[in-house]
Amino acid sequence: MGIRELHRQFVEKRVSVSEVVRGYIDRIRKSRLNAYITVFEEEALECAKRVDDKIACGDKVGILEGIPVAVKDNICVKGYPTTCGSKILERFVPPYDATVVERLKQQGVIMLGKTNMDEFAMGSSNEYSYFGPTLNPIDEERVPGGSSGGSAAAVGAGEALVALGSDTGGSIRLPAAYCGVVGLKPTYGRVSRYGLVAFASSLDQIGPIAGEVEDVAILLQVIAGFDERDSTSLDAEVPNYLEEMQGEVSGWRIGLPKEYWGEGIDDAIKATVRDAVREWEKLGVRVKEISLPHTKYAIPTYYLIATAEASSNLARYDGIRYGLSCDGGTTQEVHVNTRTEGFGDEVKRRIMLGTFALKAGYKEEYYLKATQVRELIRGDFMKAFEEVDLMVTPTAPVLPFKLGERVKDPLAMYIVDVLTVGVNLAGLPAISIPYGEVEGLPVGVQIIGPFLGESKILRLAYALERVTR
Amino acid sequence: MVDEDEILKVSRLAYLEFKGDQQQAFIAQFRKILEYFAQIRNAPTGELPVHFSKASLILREDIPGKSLSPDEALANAPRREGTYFVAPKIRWARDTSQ
Repeated sequence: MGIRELHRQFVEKRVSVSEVVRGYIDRIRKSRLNAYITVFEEEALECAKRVDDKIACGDKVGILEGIPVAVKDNICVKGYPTTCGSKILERFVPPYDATVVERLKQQGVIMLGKTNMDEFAMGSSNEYSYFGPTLNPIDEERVPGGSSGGSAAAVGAGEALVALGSDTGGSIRLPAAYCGVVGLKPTYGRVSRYGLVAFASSLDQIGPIAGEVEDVAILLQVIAGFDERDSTSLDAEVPNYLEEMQGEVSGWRIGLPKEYWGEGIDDAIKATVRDAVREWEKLGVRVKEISLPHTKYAIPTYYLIATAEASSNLARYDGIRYGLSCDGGTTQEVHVNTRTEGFGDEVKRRIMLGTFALKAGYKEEYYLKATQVRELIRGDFMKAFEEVDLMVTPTAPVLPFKLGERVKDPLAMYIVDVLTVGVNLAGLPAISIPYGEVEGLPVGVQIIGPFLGESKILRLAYALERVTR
Repeated sequence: MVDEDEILKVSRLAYLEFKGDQQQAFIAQFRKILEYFAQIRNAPTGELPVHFSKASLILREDIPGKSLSPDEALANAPRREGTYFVAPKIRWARDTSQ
């Protein structure tokens, strides 16, 4: 059931908001998935009652009023812990709402709680959370993907109707693919980052996760748009996504970038995604092979830029102003003891890589070189979009893997992001939608759009969803 | 290959400490990752400019607005005194190796 249907049931009084919210909270409490870090039980039930009272009085309620939403735990919700999956922020309670939270609250959603994630959004499996890993709802021995694994697992398991995640290098799309749900990474600047705990500021973007394409469009409609509190926010008109996703796709040109369909990508995944492309062809879409020739540099470029930005962003965790604080005789000792105790291994590794990449003597060879290669990668996408409307690729190179399988080998974990990081480097929008399965596990199809091309992406995704459901 | 001393210098710059076996394991992983990253040296960047945001510095109008109260701003402080954060005396250890 999607937002529209649940809204109809509320309005027709076939089910109360309180019953629905109680149902979600009971499922969360009984679940073994560990999808949530904090549950807002009391406030969620109070808010639900208020919406029920409104409906009982015959007042008009908006489409999002009473809709249960989960929020990734790196997005600030005033008065509740925002841990970022880290020991260092375990007790941090933000004194303000993120812009996206403020906008959703204005629409009357019910916030169910904060979802589990890789520490500081640094990971692809959710195994790097200080609060323990989240399990995949389809196979509990496997990872849900990361870093928004808690949000995707919650939606996949019926522990939230919809959720917010964040995507720095694939952190919405990969868990959406692994949990069999829909996840959209908007164009950089389309959604405000105000109140999102910074990981890599030139790459981070908040986006929606849901069971259906339409629900992703409904959430995006609310959270997209200019925000003066985010200096990188785009001052561009927000289209009516629900209207624009309804049209035909006949005559559209889809590019299949050959580098995203080559070596290292599971053959069964490629065959499944190719089947999805055939469904679009039946709708009149024209398909052609294209090339993004600098794709082979995407992983090192992404990890050098993201870690350099992270090393700077995470310098604020000093044990003085907020978060964990360990004793020390000098300020320097407080910094070192707090950070050594408070950060997990992967976060330390990335801070070290970023500090190295920016260090005098290495900066030109690593960080500055990576920023140049970023231009090449961005240029590849721009050139390709002169020939095609959208691109289609698998979302992940491998099926959801077993817990513990990659966690001790950082490079093996980084390579899981090979099909998603390019989009972040280029600042483009992309969605992952579920299509088919391999060995009983879901497969994600990634649609990549041009700058501010969310409407086109949603239309193509919706066209496939209508055919397959 | 980046030597061990250099990696330890980086850890001091990052205000992180690694000890014993953990240090050796970390150094081995760090080197392996850097070796993989070094492939970007081959990327044909020529005279391309380095990529920075095209946006100019964006500042709002200098008009007083609603902001956090001192109590709200200090609510998460590990140690506070009145409206101040409390920190140990700033006394840096001498380190000539950096």
